[in-house]
Amino acid sequence: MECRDAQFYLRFQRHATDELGGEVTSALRQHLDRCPVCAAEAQVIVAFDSALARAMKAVPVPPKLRNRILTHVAMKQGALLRAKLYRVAVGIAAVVVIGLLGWGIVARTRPPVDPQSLAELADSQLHRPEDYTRRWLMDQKLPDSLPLDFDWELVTHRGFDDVQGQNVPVVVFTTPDGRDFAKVYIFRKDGRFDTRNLQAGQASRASADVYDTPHAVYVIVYTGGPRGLQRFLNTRNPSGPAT
Amino acid sequence: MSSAHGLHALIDAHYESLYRYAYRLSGTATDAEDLTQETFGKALTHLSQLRDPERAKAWLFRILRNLYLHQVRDTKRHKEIPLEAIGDLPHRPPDDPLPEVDPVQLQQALNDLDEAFRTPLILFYFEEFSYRDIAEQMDVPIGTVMSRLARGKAYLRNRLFPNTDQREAPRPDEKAASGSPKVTDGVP
Repeated sequence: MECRDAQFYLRFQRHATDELGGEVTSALRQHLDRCPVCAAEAQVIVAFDSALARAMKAVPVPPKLRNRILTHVAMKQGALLRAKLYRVAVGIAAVVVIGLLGWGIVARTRPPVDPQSLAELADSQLHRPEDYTRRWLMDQKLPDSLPLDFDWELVTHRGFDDVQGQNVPVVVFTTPDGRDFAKVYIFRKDGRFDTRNLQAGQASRASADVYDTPHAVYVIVYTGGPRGLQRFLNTRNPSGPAT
Repeated sequence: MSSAHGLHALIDAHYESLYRYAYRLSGTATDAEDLTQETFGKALTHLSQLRDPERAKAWLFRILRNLYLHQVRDTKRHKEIPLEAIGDLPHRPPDDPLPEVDPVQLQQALNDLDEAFRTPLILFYFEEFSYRDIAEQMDVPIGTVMSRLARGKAYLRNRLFPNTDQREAPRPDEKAASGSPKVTDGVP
């Protein structure tokens, strides 16, 4: 290594670490061993760096600095926590407001329970059962009359029965003593059921008659024996079943 | 590392060296204290980003330097020495020992120096950062760090021991006239 190179590398040599690489450091050391000028320069640089390092680090640290930092960090942590809680609170409030708004909309669209109208409805059912039943049949888009002249004073129920997995409109008549009934099932001719060539049925305590009309098929199930149906009719001389 | 406990450990391990670094960067105890506190405040909010605890010190020093640069971005607080005024390392007689460096005079000299030269000098003399560490801190090539260090050291020697040099560093106008500075950015 020449003096010029040695002077160059001396400027970058660090004494605590070897960052010039083994080859350069070794060559530099060999040069310094045989060159008193560069060795003296190296001593000056070492002395200069040492003095400067001592002075650079000679900064007295304030004795209460650690506590002040901890206080500052604690305040910052508190602020972060408050911000986090605030965000959570805002989120919860938003959910609550949206929930209440949604509930309000749902509540507004739900029909209120009206006991008065229910009482009036029952009144109507009792006093004018025929008119009420006809309106109900029309509401179900069914013919507003039944195939027989039933005694409307005996009607006790209008609704739907589950027949083979389908809801079927039914009008129920009950004798005053409550022991016998007649159920009029109404099957629309809308393709949901095969209503072709239906036959009357008979069980041990109930019978089923079939009445086929242009718009619907009526199956009347009744108790009270073969003539039990007569007890539910105004005229005691019915036209008779279709089959 | 992601807990307050971890941050307290970082404070205990590094607050003194951070304060000294901040003092040498800013030149005042008040600014140094603020910078140190702010550094840990910033570290608290970004603690989850510290994946390698062994790099914590470099990470904290980098945060502090960024805070300092942010602080002085709009106001050039110091009358800085032009880069061209910083020459090569001067020679001095081998048998003439160097006196001790006055820390106050050192700070005055640092205050007059551009931050690009001041930071590598401080980190270099703290003897805890390699050239590569300093280069990473400053986002510059390692050669640039070494060049700035050489020129910064020459400047400090001229400032702190002005009467002992046989060969004075040229003044900026002389340097410009010569057109061939011995140490330039990017060297070696």
